[in-house]
Amino acid sequence: MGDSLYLAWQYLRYHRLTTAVLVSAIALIMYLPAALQVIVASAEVHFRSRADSTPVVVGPRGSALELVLSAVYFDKPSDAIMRLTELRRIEEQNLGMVIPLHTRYTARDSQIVGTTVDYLNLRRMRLSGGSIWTMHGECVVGAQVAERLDISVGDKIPVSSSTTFVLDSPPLRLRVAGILAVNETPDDDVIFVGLETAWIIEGLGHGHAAGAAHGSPDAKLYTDITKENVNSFHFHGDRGDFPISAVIVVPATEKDQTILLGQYFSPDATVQIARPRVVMDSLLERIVMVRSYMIATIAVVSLVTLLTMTLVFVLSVRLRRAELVTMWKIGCSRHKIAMILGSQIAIILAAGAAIATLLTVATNGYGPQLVRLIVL
Amino acid sequence: MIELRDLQFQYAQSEFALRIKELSLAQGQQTCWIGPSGSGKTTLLHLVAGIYAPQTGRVKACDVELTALQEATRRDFRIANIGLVLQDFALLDYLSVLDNILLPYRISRALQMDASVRSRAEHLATDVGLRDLLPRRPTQLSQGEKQRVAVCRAIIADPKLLLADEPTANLDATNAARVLDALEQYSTDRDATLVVVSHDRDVMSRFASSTDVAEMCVQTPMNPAGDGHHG
Repeated sequence: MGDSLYLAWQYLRYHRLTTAVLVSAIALIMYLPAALQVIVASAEVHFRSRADSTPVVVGPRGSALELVLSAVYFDKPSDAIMRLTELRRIEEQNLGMVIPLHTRYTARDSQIVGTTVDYLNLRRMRLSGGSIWTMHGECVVGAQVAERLDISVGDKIPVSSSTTFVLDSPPLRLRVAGILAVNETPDDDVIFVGLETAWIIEGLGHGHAAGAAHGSPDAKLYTDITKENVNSFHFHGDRGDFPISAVIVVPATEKDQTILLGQYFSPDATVQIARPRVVMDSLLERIVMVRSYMIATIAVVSLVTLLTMTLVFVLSVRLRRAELVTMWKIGCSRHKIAMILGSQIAIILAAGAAIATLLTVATNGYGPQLVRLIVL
Repeated sequence: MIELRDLQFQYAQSEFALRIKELSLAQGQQTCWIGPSGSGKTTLLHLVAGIYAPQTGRVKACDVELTALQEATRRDFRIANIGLVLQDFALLDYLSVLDNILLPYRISRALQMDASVRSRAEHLATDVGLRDLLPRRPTQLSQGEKQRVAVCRAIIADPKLLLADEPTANLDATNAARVLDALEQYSTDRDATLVVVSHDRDVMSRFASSTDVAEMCVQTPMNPAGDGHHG
């Protein structure tokens, strides 16, 4: 057996390009269905765990899926708004914890989420450095943002100018007050600010102090909120009309949730209520269906690939006839020749399986990141 | 050493037939079988080696009646006792020179590989001027070097009978002489019987005894005559 493997290995080594193609084909045939399974399973876990920890979301009327993806997974900035009055109306009923979300702006390709500290507590987020925001203009960044932008506490992040509409004032620059620890969720790629800071970004609040846009060489380009000028920042208008993107509600009891759900059945309502778990289950059902189609397609392609590989193998044996006849004439049995050829197949299959396993393990390890990269 | 008696052989679905009444060679004898292409030289060599089995008659080699052996036993006997230099070198391109020489030990359980075999392979390669070429592949060798590798492979198991099929066919005069020297040297040193098959009369002239296979009872559709006798 050792000699058969040795001769087979030498043959495969000599024909390394052909071997590499065959091994790659086998690896792909094995890896693709496994990877699909792993990614879909990971997506299910990822989506469900996030959805399970977000009982109810209230937001502008429209697609429930878009509302959930925007408010729960921060997939992209949302232009749709609702009024703060709605949040107050829910709060007044004392049905549970109510958390506002403002998700209209970005900074350095990361979404800015205006919210309250309750949101960080709901997600059980911990700080790896610094502190929570204590005044307007401060932010707390997710671990991925900090790593990608190579920033630390005290650094400043300019809000993307294309998203701001502040007249007579350059874009706001956020001061990093704290950095969150990694928690493998969309929160890692988010810049959190207080709700009022989000409104200042929107132009609903502003300062009049002389130092508001001064103090540094690039002061003309950005607005910095400092301890000296923070008190000059104020808001105009009725706060009840101020915009928010969504409200997360964590009802205290099942009964409270039922009461809340019952309030949004009216077809005239300008807001909607969604249960992320129900919405994501519906989405996952479709994903599972797509997966089934993909596995069927992969199965057909794999079968064709295997048949082609069999043909390649048979043709290669015919091409090697002179070599095999030489071995037979010297004194090699047909059984031994079959063992040598079988060893070649075994090595190719084993190498393909090993690569497929490694790739699958890697895919499994990076499942959550892959899901976020692919899906969100 | 070699004894053929009342031999008849015909390929399946072919009109070519070979008949030999009697043929014998003594231990240590060096001889050349000569004849034109298609005269049956290679077929005869394969019969003596036990690669082919005749329809009738007896073949004895190294005092063993090959025709009485089962195919598997005959194969094991061949690899352990008969050295074969096949036409066109018949080297395996994907193996190094060393592995080509050691090939008989890798393809049969009748031979046991150990350190001494490896050492012997290196020694043989040194003797024929291949010492520095052991790691190379056959595609990196000249024709003469390839044939010397084929000779080393044939004698690695220390056979008592050495059969060489057109060993000088693709070689220039210098390399041809070098290969024949190596074969004759081995035969003399080990008292091994040597049969060289060739269509080249210059090769025949090197040997004290030779046989024209075409005259030795070869029956073909063009020559439907019958028996012959050779001793």
